[in-house]
Amino acid sequence: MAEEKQKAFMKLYEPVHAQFERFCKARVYGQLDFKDLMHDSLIIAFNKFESLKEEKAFLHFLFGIAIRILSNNKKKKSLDYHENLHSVFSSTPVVSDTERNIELEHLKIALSRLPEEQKEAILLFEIGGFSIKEIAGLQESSESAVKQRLSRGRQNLLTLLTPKSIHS
Amino acid sequence: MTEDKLNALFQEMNQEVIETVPNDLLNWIKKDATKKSNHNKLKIGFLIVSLLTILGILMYSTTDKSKSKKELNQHETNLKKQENPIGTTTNGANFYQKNNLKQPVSSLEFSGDVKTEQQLIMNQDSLTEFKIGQLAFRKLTREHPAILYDEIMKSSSSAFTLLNPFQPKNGAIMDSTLRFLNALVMLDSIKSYRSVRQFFMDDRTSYLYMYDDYIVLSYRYRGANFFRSGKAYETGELIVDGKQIQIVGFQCDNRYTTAHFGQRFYLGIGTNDDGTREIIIFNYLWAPSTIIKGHNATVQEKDQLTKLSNAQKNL
Repeated sequence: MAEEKQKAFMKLYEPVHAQFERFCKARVYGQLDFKDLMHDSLIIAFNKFESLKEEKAFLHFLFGIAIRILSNNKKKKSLDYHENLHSVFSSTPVVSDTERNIELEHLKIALSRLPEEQKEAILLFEIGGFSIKEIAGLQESSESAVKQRLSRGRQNLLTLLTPKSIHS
Repeated sequence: MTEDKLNALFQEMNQEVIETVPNDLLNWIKKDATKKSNHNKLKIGFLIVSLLTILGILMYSTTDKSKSKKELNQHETNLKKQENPIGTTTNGANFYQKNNLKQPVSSLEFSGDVKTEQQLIMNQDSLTEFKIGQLAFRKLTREHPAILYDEIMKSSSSAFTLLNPFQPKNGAIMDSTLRFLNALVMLDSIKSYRSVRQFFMDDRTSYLYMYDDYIVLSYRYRGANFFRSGKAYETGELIVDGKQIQIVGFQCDNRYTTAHFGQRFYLGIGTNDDGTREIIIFNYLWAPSTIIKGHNATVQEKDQLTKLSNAQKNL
């Protein structure tokens, strides 16, 4: 019974694993280890797997759990958030020194500087591939609010990714 | 940075190499299973600890209750001491000897027989002298104890004691001498302490009667009856508006009415320069609430009251 459940879970999870990891990585960049978030989310998802009504909704189900964990932890302040981003960046090794990877690192840094809701909306839209309506459902807000977050978030990212801002 | 560049970066991010392997999930879940069992153990431990705490609190409260009961009993003893017949204490006796007065009979020794009362003659050195016996308001029998001490004690140890607390002694000099023994004061008018409006009593049968250490206050004004009776359990002196007055605390019993049973009541009795009496009713903390003006009963008034009392008894 338990094995069957694991199989069914893995069958749904494997296709979205990469997407989920990228989302978690970017979402908690500079704050905590993305593996912790993934781990916690997957445990909850596995335990509540029976409550999933449609297989199609798995991605939504999984991302929703991750978002709720983050929002709960933000309220409780139980996670050991790094107060100073510089300490994180200095301790996070830049894996590749290619230009592309540097740009990606800059993007992640810029994302980490965005307000939480804007960052989340952008990541759900760009990495999760969710529609505005779905994001509104996940974030428990209106579609217009999500639209605004996306547009303001992108504007902020463009500003933050100017060479002047990056070097400052 | 342009929009296109940003879109390109997001696309690259979507193709970024992943660091974890989905199959590791299985290990995570297994790990969590052990974690969960530990969690359950913790939960059970917490439950046991909280149960023990509750048990401890319950036991403590039981001990505390018995302790408070002891305290109450102590309090009861103290109160009983205080409730000794005022006239029969050493001070009181001296007072009567000094003033060449007859020692009054305490209501504790009161037989409850109306006939016995009738034999008592008032010897108090007051403006009027009268027989006091015929003022028995209702015939009492042996089965009906004059004052149900036990009941009063019960009421004083109940939760309602908070609403009916003992008057603090601050500012008052307490002694055991009741100055106006066997006094009958006819009440004329009443006014609130804070007001200048004065109301006359509805009839001429309003009175304050002090038979030994038993007090009856009865008056009627503006159609409302006011009746309190009980045994004085403490007495003393207090200065109100520059005048020294006698204060008496009594606890209402159910001898004539059960309406205010167990309620503590405080009276101040003063004498004006013209010989008239002034009775002050106190609230808690010796705050005067009502002032009643009266005079010592004349023989006619006393007779009239006795007649009325007898008439009521015959109804």
